[in-house]
Amino acid sequence: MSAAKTHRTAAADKISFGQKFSYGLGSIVNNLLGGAIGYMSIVLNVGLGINPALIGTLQAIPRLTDSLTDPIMGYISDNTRSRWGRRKPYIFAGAILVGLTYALMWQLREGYSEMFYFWYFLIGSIVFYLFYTMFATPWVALGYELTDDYHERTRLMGMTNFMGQFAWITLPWFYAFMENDRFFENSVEGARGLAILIGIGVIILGIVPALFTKERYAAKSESEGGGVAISGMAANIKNFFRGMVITLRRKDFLMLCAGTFFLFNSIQLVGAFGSYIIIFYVSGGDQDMGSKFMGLFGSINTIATFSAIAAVTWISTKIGKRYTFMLATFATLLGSILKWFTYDPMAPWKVLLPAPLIAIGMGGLFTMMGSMMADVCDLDELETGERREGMYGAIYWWMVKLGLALAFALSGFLLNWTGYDVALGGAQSSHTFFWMRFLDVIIPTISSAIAIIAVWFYGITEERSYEIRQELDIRNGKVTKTAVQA
Amino acid sequence: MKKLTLITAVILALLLGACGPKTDSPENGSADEVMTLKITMIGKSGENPVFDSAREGAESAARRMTEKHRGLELLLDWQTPSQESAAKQAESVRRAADTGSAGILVSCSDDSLLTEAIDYAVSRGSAVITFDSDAAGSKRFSFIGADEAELGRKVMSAAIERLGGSGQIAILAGNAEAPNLRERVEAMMAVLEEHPLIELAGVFHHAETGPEALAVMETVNADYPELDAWAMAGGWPFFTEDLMSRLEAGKYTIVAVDAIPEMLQYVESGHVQLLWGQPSYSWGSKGIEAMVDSLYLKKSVSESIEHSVIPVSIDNLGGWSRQLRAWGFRGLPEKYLTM
Repeated sequence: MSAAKTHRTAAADKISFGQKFSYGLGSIVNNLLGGAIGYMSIVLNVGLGINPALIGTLQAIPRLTDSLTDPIMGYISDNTRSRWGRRKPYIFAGAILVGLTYALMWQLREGYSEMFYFWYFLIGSIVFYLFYTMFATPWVALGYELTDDYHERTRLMGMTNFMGQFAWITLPWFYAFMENDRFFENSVEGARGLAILIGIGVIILGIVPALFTKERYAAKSESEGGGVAISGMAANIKNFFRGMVITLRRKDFLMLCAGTFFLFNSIQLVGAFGSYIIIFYVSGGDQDMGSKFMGLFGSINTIATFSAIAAVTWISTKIGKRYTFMLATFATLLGSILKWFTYDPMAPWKVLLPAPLIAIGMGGLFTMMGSMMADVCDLDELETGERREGMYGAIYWWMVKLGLALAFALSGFLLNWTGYDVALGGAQSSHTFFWMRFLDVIIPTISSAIAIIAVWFYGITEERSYEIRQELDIRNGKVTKTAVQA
Repeated sequence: MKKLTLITAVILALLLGACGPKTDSPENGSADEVMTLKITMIGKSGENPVFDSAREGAESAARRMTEKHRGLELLLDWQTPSQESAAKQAESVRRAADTGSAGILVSCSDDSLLTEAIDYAVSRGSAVITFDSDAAGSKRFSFIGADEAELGRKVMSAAIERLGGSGQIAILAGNAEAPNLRERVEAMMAVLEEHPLIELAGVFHHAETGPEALAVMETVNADYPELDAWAMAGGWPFFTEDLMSRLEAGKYTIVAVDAIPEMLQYVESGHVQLLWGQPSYSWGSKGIEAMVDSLYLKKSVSESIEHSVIPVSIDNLGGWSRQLRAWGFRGLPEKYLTM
């Protein structure tokens, strides 16, 4: 089968728009919860005066525990037998609990010690991430189960990612909202109010997938009896670790992990620097101006990401997934370098120029990675005889979350290392601003280059992918209703 | 948060089809009810640009406050004398009270002269806040400024540290009647007592203009040939261009209060090693916010609203310059803004 051939999805494998939409609402919640703390945490420093290194630690520790609880939650969900299915009860309860927890954890007031804030927020964060996992892990799994069709799954994920971008549009405006004098006395009060709004939004949107998305294996689950199948846990844990070893030996998978790790986490790592540079360097400490530019930067970035998702999907049909990813990542590399020249206190609006370029790589990242992961899973099945999307997905996202935790932790320490002193406001030393800006540029530039090199060594070309699929179809018989069109 | 509560309350009221009784809060007044507050602002001198920055802060805060509170109109009345004159300030305070100013913000050139005027204004119904320089014995309800004693200690400690703990030092003290300057100088003297190897050449007062301060400085430099350092309670000598040609850069260790744009060239040239910049912008912005809190929202306001001071040296000249620009100072050289 040549790469030029296309596949048509059978009618029975198609998911209705309503089902896609209800499932996709979960991605808004997922992205909102994933990004909100990061975007609001500047208040912990600017509003409450907590040391950036402590803030980094605050963000890192819960993400580490989160990385451990993901596979456990996945196991619990996989083995749940209930009349409502394996996923939906957790999505429903998780959405409510995580919304409530998020609203509560930001109800901080001025006047307490730094360590009080640290412990309050740390405990709150750990509970928050526990409930976040309770919502997100079954929600992700639900998406994998909605269709078996290769292209329909891509269309579902495309729409899901597209809807999820709406969360990223609002996130960069959080600081401007919290700082807005018309709504709040100060950013600390703003954080309290915003967290309540987010909590309400999370609960309302988060329960929609549980209420309206059909779970394909719900009937089967019910027929197998209620409760959670604990008896197989030991065997499953053993299988889990065996599968992990096999997975970690697969070079193509590791290359995708490396590409994601360096590109995604480097952008997250310098995210903190970006905020501080825009507010204190470009805007001279004018927080109103800085927050507006941060908002505009983020919104342009997100709009460009919408376009990038569509563009990379189209381009990948022309030049293949690997080259598409490398091209998109190269755009991010160029955008990162451009920041050195466009972050200009004499022309603050220029901070907006790199945003579209940086967005292209980020837009292409999870679109292409999701698709390439499926190819890896096909190759894995060809060589092992097992379908192990769960294992690949768990390790892939574990790696992403671990990287995020490291990025959050490192960002605070790096900010301190540059000599940043919150008491100086915009009057940081030239040395501090130089290193903040240097790190802001050099980290994503080098990381993007590493991501490009990693994916260069990814071996599953478009042609090879179709060969694998064909061999699997022959081995398994006609396992799907997919028609092949010359 | 109040806004959120208000929105929630309005929605609930509409849903229930019921309206609660009106309260006295101005926020609950009808759209036609606008409270107009005239605030008179009186700096020490129109020649001193820190008061222009304070005015900028006040105007910015007034815009924000009127946007935030639709039932509020603020009229800013700028009455700073062109040259420093406590008598003119006192006259302006009285006139403001007589012409219906609801609030008066004043930086006192001479607290003894201003106290009586402030008390008169309060008796006429005006609320008074002092900023930068206080009249603590007056009936003003709040003061906005730095902890003057802490500022004095910082100046002297930094000078002594740069001298390595020994040498001869002079204090440039400005107006002997200004209470804030007196407090700074007293704190400097207290620090000196802890350093027996530091010899004090003297405390030198002068009218607060650039030429007068520079003249005093040159006289002292000539009279004390062993002089190593100046601890300055203000940055007056740097308000004149002449300093560059009349004082050798680096000959004296100089640490001074204030870091306004005119002074920054001397940081770059090495004439001054460290300045302690005051967020003069916040004198105005915090002053207006406090007035609105007290007069419009009927909130209690702290008797003392302190702000921190920021060290400015060659290391953070660029950052400080950008900060000044954000506070409304104009004419900052591009080379500083891009540092």
